[in-house]
Amino acid sequence: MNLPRIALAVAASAAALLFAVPLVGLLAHAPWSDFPVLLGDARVRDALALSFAASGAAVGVAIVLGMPLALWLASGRSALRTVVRTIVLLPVVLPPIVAGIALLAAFGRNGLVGAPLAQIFGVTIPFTRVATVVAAAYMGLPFFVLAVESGLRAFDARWLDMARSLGAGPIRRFAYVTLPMIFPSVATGMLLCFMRALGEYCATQLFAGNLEGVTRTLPLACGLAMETDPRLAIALSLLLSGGSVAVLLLLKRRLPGAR
Amino acid sequence: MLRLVGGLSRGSLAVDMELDVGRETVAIVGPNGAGKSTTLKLIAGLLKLDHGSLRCDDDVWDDGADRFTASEDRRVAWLPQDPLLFPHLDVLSNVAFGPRSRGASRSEALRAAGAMLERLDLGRFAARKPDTLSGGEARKVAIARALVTRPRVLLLDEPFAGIDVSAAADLRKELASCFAAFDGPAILVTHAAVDAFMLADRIAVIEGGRRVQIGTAQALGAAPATRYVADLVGLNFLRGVVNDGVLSLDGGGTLVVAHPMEGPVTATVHPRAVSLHRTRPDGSPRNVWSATVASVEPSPGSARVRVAGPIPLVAEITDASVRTLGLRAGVEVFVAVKATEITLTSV
Repeated sequence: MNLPRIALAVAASAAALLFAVPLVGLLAHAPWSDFPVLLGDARVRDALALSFAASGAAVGVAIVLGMPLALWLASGRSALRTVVRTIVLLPVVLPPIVAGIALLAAFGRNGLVGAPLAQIFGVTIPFTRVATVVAAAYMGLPFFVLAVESGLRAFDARWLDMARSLGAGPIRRFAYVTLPMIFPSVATGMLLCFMRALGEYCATQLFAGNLEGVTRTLPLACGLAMETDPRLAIALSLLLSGGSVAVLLLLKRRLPGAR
Repeated sequence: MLRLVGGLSRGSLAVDMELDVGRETVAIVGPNGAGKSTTLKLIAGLLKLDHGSLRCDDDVWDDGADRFTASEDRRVAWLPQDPLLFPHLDVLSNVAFGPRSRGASRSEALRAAGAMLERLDLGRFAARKPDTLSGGEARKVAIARALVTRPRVLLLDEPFAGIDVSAAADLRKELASCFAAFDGPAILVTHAAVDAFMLADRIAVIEGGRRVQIGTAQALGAAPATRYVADLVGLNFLRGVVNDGVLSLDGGGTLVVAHPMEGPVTATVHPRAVSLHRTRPDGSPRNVWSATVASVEPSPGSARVRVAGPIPLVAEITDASVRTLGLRAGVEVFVAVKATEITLTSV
């Protein structure tokens, strides 16, 4: 009689376990007592600092470039906006390896933009710290733009009419009305962008390389450790998981079903 | 002096207005979708005229073409139905928003906001967030926020919508003193004729985006231009004080009312609820008096008969009755009004 409900419960439990078991596996293999030594290593600290710097810079890029883009995307409906939005959101669904190859094709030494950049200005991007930021921003920006645009679209323009009638010009309207009122969306966008940037592996390795102390971010260090010192890899994985859980807790109230 | 001639068409809504407002309060009354809010937005600079022009004193705010003064440069107080207090700012900062936007320093703006809140007896709310205020309180804060900018024009859209009767009476008093103290054109959009009568000097009736009539409540009642004006605006309004079920009118005379209200009120009597007789009627009406017919005006489908005497009223009578009763100026009649047909609004 209750067969459909039982089947549903079994399937749902299996799905939940699919997510829970790997995390438990990590915890079970955690070299708890060696943690301070493993994570205290200078190379780990370098990778950690590099990752945070690159991800933080990616968030900065998102704010400076992504905010105006989100404002424009949210300001109306047009075919051009749809095309631009599709391009911007592409990295979300693009396999990261493709993103890395595309970045190299554009900004690499012989790339479309990279070649003239190197010839005229003597600037090379690939395999530098800047490249880690570019890769991180490329992968993280869509999350920021998506979150901010949806916040802006849900924002009631009557508030701006009111601010306008009270004498507020465009800058004041944005800074004192729009921004504070859509702040939850902006914060969500910043966090999602930061976490996507922090976890970036494939595109970074291709485009920025894996140079210790220069472009070896935490995920790259983690991947390398898997071949040399699995205990370190697990420790680093736990560190990243901890950060991710913390972000989810921060976002808890913004997720579906939140109370 | 505000002068709006022209309008705009947007989808199904076309507004083509002619409105002159001096140093007075004009109430805009009209059915839903008549273009009342649109008219206010045009004046506030939130919409642009397609054709025509909008002037305030000697300034052309909108000429329907290239000349357009942005809303932020007009100094118009726009109070839409929803008070739209900024939810992220406390009451004091909400009120300080206008002065701050117009270049006052932070401390000046806060001082001006604090003074305005005190003036409207809202000082105790200064530190509160808007979502902790009642509907009536939020309206008053919105009024304070608008007035502190020293606006040249005051625009209020349905200030009593969605608030309870006692809060509305309180707010009505507040608005009456605001309008009295305000030295420029004020426009009040409402759908309640009694509010228009109580707060405004003149009433402009708009239907289908056009002004169909403008004048005092008495003028509209005596000669309504359309059915809508006759039914909803051309009413008898009487001021007085209710004491123990008896309304003593300011102009003399008394009426028995069937309303458990005490104190100063505005009484509304629909012209169709006023009946005229050649002989003293028997039966239920408790308010019967004799009066002289002052005039008989034709009105769409019927006639408006104005009676003089202690209680001047307009009665709406069918053309047939006008003939049977032989009504014309100078005829003596008995006027009857049922107590239950008198609606009271506390002042």
